Amino acid sequence: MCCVYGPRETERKDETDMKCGRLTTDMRFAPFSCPERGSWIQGSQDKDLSLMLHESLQPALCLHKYPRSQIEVNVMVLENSGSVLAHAVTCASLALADAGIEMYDLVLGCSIRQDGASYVVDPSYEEENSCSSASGENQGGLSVAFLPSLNQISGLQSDGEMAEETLTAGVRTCIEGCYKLYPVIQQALAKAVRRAAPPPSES
Amino acid sequence: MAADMRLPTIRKPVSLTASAFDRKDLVVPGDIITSDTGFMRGHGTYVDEEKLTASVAGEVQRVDKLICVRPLKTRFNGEVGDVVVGRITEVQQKRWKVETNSRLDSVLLLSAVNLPGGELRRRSAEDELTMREYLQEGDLISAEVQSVFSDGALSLHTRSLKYGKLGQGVLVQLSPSLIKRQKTHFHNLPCGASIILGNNGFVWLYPTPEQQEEEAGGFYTSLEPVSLSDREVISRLRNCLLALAAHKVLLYDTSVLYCYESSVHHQVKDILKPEVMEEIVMLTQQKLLEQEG
Repeated sequence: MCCVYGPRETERKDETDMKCGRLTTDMRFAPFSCPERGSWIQGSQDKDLSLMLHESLQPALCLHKYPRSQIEVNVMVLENSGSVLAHAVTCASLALADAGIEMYDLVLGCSIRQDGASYVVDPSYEEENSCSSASGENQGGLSVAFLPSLNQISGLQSDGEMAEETLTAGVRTCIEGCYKLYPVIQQALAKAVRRAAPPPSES
Repeated sequence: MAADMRLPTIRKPVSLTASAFDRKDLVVPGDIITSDTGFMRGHGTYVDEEKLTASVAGEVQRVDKLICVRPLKTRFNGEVGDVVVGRITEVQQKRWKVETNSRLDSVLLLSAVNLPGGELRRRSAEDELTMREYLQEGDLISAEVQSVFSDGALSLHTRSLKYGKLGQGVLVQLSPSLIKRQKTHFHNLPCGASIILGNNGFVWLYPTPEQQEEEAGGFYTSLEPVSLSDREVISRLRNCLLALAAHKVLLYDTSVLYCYESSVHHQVKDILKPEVMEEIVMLTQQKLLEQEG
């Protein structure tokens, strides 16, 4: 679930930037989202993911069009079933488009998990956290935030140990995954716009 | 007191608006609108390697050679002459900061208000110190947009007797795109209440004052108790406004009045139920079409 607030006046006045707006991101996990119950207090994982979300979304927003303003993005994970960062990025960019905030392009996220010789696109929670004790190398996960129309990558996060070729092949797979996702997202947004469109102006 | 509870069900949305004008030109950010360089770009677009691309999700509007994309919801973009209803958020040195549902807080300068005691008085240092006595944080005011700063902030003024601090009433916050632009935004409805339709989406409902007070340029608020019949009228109007807003009907005095008349048969609190809302809005739209045709 993602909420976007803004653009509105910056809350902390000493950090007002006269030339462009600011983006604040916050990502939280509900205690019932993961198989093991988490706590309400933000752990380091939440802060890390918030920062990565910020990095992925910032290049896509036209912040120079909102001087002295602030845009807040709050993501609350209700059910963590794997590849949380990728889904959060996609969800946040949909929310930003729905809010009417100017963006260069939609940011789509895709992630894979490499386990030995095989890899899985869009892993589930068990696939992400299971580690086969057999192979020591070529084991890790990769999340890519991609802007399809501009063909640019705005965020890349990987953990684990992977060889160089596996990493590049993995990035390419993620990009393909994003391209497949793009038409679906476009249709969903178009449907929402059609439903919620304002009445035609009489001018 | 009996409470009404419902289980969530999937309701088929009855499309009340004539969607004959089907919106085929819906774009999402990143969609290429055209590669033709003969067009000028307007709001909501940007040029990337000679390709005109959309930057918001909305519908494309083409006026001759100008292409712009109108997003489905925006903050209030004020223009000179708009009437707004806002809430004071800060009291600064020589001005007040007013929140008006726009990108930045609007500014109400001390020199742009009517001080009690005559309009042509020079603002002294003492006026600055007693600013809080006129308008405090949390007060609601009605004002007009005097000018727009370069970064988009609005500069307001209350230099007429009809603008000023608002007293007892009900504020309804709606989307700015639902308010129709008209010659006047202050209406005394025949059903017994008055309404201020702010262009920024804030609508203020208040009981009609018996006599138009000539004194005190808008800073005097009457604290007399409002009668029960007036309160009922105002509550009914508020629910009607919410019903109209939910079905995306343009708001102006006639549409609000027709909606009020259509809702007389139902109890005030029933108007908030979805099926009653649909019925009332359908009746209102029929009446509006009859009136036009």
